[in-house]
Amino acid sequence: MSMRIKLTNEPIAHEEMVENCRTKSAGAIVLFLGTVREITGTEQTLFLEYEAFAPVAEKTLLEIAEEATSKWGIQKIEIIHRLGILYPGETSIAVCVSCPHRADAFAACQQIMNKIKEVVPIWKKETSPKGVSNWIHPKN
Amino acid sequence: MIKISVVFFAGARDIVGQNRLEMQIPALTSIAKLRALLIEKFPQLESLATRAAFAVNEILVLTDTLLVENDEVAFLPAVSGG
Repeated sequence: MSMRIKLTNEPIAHEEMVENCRTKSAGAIVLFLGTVREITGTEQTLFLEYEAFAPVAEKTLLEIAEEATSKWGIQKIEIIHRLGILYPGETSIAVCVSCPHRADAFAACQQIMNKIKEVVPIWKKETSPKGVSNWIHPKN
Repeated sequence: MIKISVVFFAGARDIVGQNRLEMQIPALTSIAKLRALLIEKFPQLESLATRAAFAVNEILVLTDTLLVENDEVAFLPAVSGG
């Protein structure tokens, strides 16, 4: 079992993550990419800016990865979250897991993303083409 | 009284106007009480504060945690990563 957790200001090299997760005992590799969406409802996004409370974000990501690993029998896992300014189409997060079977790999990715969106101290600020900026703090 | 610091992120930092605040508070103040003190000081912080999580010295804590001298509290508003 191997695990890599990273916060970075650099573009995410997801092809490398897939190769890192490849193992002879896994029959499935699932890669999830979260990408910046230009249009949400009627709102247009010019760019997003992500910030993290890094020490706690890293610790929490590690706990999520460990929990998913024991629950879904993950063999290799990599989670990378990008910080700083990102434009539409760019990758903000990548989660890659390998498991013996695909059902577990899909379920693991789904659960990991749900947990990340719930508890990891990372925030995004949306800036519209008119230059209006808002930090996003979900109300539920 | 004890001296602590509170660090703010994202929308909370914008409301407070700085990312770190030094405070003098009674010894053994709980996180819940600190949250009330912060709302008193910055009323606009209330809606973020009611849903915020807190860390003390980089460890997530529950709101009944008691603070001691030199603790660094992180005020973590509802997250939006991913």
